[in-house]
This record gives sequence, C-alpha cells and structure tokens, in this order.
Amino acid sequence: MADNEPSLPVLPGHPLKRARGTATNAPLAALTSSDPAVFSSDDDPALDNYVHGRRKKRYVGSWFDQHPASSDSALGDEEMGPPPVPLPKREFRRQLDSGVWMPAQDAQDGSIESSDSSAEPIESSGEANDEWDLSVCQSDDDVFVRTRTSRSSMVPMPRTILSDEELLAQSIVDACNREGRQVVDLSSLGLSSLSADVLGTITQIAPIPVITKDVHEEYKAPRIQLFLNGNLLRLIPVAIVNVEHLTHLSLRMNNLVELPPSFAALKNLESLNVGQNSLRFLPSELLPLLKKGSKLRELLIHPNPFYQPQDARYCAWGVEEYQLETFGPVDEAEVEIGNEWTGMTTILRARTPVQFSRGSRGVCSGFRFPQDTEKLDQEDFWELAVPSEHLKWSRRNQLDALRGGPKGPRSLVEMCLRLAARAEVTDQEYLALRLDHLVAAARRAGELHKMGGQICCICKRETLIPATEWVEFHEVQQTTIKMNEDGTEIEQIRRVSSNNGIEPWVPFMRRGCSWACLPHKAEPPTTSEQRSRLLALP
Amino acid sequence: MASKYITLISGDGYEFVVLREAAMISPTITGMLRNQFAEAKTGRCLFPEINGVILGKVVEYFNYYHKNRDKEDVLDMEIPVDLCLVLIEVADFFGLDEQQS
Repeated sequence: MADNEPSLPVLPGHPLKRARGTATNAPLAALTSSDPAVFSSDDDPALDNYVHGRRKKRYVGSWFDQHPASSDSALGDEEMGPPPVPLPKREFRRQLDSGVWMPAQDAQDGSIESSDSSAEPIESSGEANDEWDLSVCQSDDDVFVRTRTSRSSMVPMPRTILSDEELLAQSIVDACNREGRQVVDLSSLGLSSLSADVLGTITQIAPIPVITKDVHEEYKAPRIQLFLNGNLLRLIPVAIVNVEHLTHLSLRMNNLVELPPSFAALKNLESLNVGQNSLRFLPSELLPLLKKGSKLRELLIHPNPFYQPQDARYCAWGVEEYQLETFGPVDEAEVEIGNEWTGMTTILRARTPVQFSRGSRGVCSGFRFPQDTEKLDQEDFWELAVPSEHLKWSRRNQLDALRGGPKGPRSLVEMCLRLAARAEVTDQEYLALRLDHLVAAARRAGELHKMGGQICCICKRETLIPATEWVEFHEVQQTTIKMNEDGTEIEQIRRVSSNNGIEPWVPFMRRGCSWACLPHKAEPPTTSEQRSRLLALP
Repeated sequence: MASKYITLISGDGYEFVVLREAAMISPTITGMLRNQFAEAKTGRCLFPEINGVILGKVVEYFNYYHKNRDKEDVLDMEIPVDLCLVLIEVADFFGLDEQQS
C-alpha cells in the first residue's frame, strides 16, 4: 500500500525548483505534461508509464541488478515484492582472476614452455621443484642426485642451428623452390646430417605450370627427384617420408647403416638407389613396395655389406604356412596394372633364427647378429630355436594367450626411453646412466626414434626396444607382367644380380615388440616326398 | 598368512604401502619376498639408495600396471622429463624392462 512506502513530506513549492518527483506526483506530472497525448493503442510498452491512473514502474537496485519495487508496480501498489536480499558486506580484497589476460613479460620463455607442455604437464614442474629441494637436503648420501639435471638443460630446445653444409643445401633447395625445378641435386656436399628443416622445404617444391593460350591448365603432381649421393649421411631422418611426391631418391655413396622403417610411406617412389653404403639389411617395411602394382621400378642396392646366408640352402617346405600364419592373410586387392607392368617382386627364400633381446639387457639367445662377419645361420621354417629364458617366460605368461601381440601397458624402461628420445636427450646426457647396457639401449632407442620408430611386424605396435629380430632372405627380381587379350597374365622375370656374382638374396629385417611376436613354426615335413621337395633348388 | 599389502621404504624415509600383487611384477621385489629374508617376514622392503620421489613414481607404475594389465592401447603414464633418466636406472634395478603379463 502506498502508506507503507516511505515518502518524504511534501515540501513547500518553490517557484523555480520543481518538487522532487515522488511516485504520487508522477500521474500529475503526466497530466500536466506538454507532450502530445498518447493512446493505449500505441505499441510502445514504455508508454504505459504515462497512462493516467497508473503509477510509473519503479525499480530497486543498482543498474546491473534491478528488480521491480513491487510485484507488478504497473498495476498499482498492491503488494511489495520480497525484500531484496541484503548483499553481503563487501570486503576489499584482490580479485585473483580478473579475467584480463596479460602477456608474460618474457614472451620467449612462454613460447618454450608451451612447446613442451605436451611432454610435461605444468603441475609436474612444481613437483619436480619440490623434489629438487628434497634431494638437495640430503644430497650427501643420495646417489641419484648426481644424475639429476636442472630442468632447463633437459627441456628440448628447438634446434635450429644448421651446419654450413646444411645451409648450402638449404640454399639449393630454396633455389629449386623458387624456380620450380624438381630435380634437387644435393650430391657431394659433405652433408653428415640432414635436418628436417631442409627436407621440409623440399615438400613445397611444385612445378611451375606451362601456361599457353586456350589450353586448360591441368594439375600435375610434382615429381621430385632428390640426389643425396656422395655425402656422409649415417641415418636418414624420418622427415623424408613427408616428401610425398618423391619419385627418385639416390643415396648412393653415403655411410648409411640402416634405412628408416617408415620408408614404406613413400608410395610414389619409382627409383631408389642405396648402393655403396654400410647397410647390412633393408627394413622389411620396404617389402610392400616390392609387389605387383607398386610404382617402384628400379632398386639399386648393391654393393653393400649385406648379410648373406651361410650356405644359401633353399628350403621350400613351410614357406607359405610361415607367411600366412605369421603375418596373416595378405589382402590380395586386385591391382589394376593396365596392359603391362614392370617392377620389382620378391620371393621369400630363407630365414635366420630369431635373436631374442631381454628388454634393454641385451641379447639372450644363442643366435645373435654378428658384428664382424656377414654370414648368417639359417633356420628352417619348421624350426624355431628359443632360449631357455623364453621357455620359462612363456610358461609363466601362457604364451598362447599372448598370440597376436601383448596387451597392457609398456614396460617402465621403455616408457622412460621413449620419453627421453622424444626430449632429444643428447649422447652426453645418456652417459649419465651408469650401466652400459642402459646407455646402449638408450642410444638405440634414440636412433630408432629419429627414424620414426619401429612398428612391430606382427602386432603393429610401435616400439623402441625390439625384443625379437630375424632376417628374411628374399630374392629380388625385376618382373614384367603383360596381359593377353584373353585376360591371362604372362610373367617375364629378369634376375637382378649383383656385380660379384653371389646369389642375390637380399636380407630384410623383421622386428617384433615382444617375445610373443615370433615367426610361426610350420609343420615339419613327414613323408619322403616332402623331404625331397625341401631339397629342391630353385 | 602374509598381508595383502607390503611397504616400500625409500632412502629418505618415505613409506609406500602397495598391493603385494601389484608389486610382484618386479622380479626384484618377488625375490626379496620369496625366501625367509627379513623382508619376507615383515613385509617391509627398504631401498636405501632410492629417493622418495623416484620410488613414488615406481609405485605409481605398479598401480598403473595393475589397473591396466588387461587393457589394450593404454596411454603411457605421465613422467616428468627430468626424471626419465634416473627412472630408467631404477626401473632397470626393479627389472621392469621385460614384457610381463
């Protein structure tokens, strides 16, 4: 009710000053207004305020938190709404999150922090600091303090320092990029390493299309040819896989010890030259490129100090079973080869025994890949020599349950090695590990990581510590397949022979991620007819 | 009857109580608890040269492994980069470098 509302006593009218407008004065003011008359049919709801007999809506509260003074003040003054909740007494204290983002003072630090935040969450840095303090307190007897390095030295820094040779290579690549030349000649530059930066610019090379009048310009995939022959490269960085349209790659006369397993991603490769290197084997991941329908036509791999079988004994028995059971059925998707296809194909001839490694602790099987000689033992496809430790291990773990790859998390050592490899820990830092086998394993893991990691050939899990390794000897042939009119295929085979006339079996390395990832043991031959078959020479 | 839990004690006095079953993935701990060593009787294993933080990470791994041993495609445990070299050595000491199951 109006009586309940506090109101000021009516002030004596002042000739110049209008009385302060209280609610009760409002209708009067509207009546005496000189504004044009308004009608209820007008749409503007605000005009309700001026209708005679109603009181102006009144609101309580500050501008950002208004509510009507009564439940419906427009209808008059029946009832007051609930009294506004008294605000808690305001305290003066700092607003921690003002909602205003300010850039860090040293933006440089900030960017580095964010770049490695994936490897190490922010919270852990606080924990690491605590731990640092803790270890300092009792550093006299804690032997692990010695190896702990401060955070800044372990954090991966972007390595942008290029050697002079790489800068020269970079300038050549840039020139090719400018002119749209697709032949990148980096031969005989004395390159001992090749950074991803240089390779990254190669991917951008695109041919400059010839534009002629009235001819529609068509897109042509680039055909990049990269010549790296005559350098000092020891490893090929994984970034080469990103050069999608690489068609010719020459790595002749380098110091390569291993080709990266990720090479298989270079689907457009037509010619590969890896002769005159220190390769002992090729990655088995290369085998899919040596199949009917693939684009690789030219494979020059000799001379290299490849592993050779001890006596080149060809055992035909169990080959199919071994391939089928170990690697599963090959998806024989019908490849369109047109009228004629020429390329490389391989035939599996033999395999070596399996080398078992005990995690990071080195080899534990009787067979191991020799360092000094290139002659390797052979094992028949129906045999499988396993070390005694493996027997114990398989009894403990029920090997059958592990077929198709191990489940569960990785081992702690592998997790740490992976982390260290990702953080690009240098060789000097690895030396802080006091055990030789750990240093070796860490270096090996670092190398594998640089080459893009090893995928287990059986369970396809990525690993940095292969547990099983064996070599398959394949015969590599150049094959031409022609289609007859009636749709049958005629195959012509031309053997690719090495210069010195040795039987050209090429070793391909297979790697498994656990002791369960093994070659399948085929059924042994039983009849004499089968035995005679295994002695058959090609 | 041996307790379901064992206690691992670091050189600087931190004690971690772990499920016996989870800690048994380490051949080192299995060996300590197998025979009539003092550790087997009390269920308390002292590692005088291992720091509390590192041992904490190892214990975290025991639990992580115990929880995830039957799963596939498990995410790696989070390990601070500056601990990884030290942890390699300690993991090697605990024999956590083979594929267990």
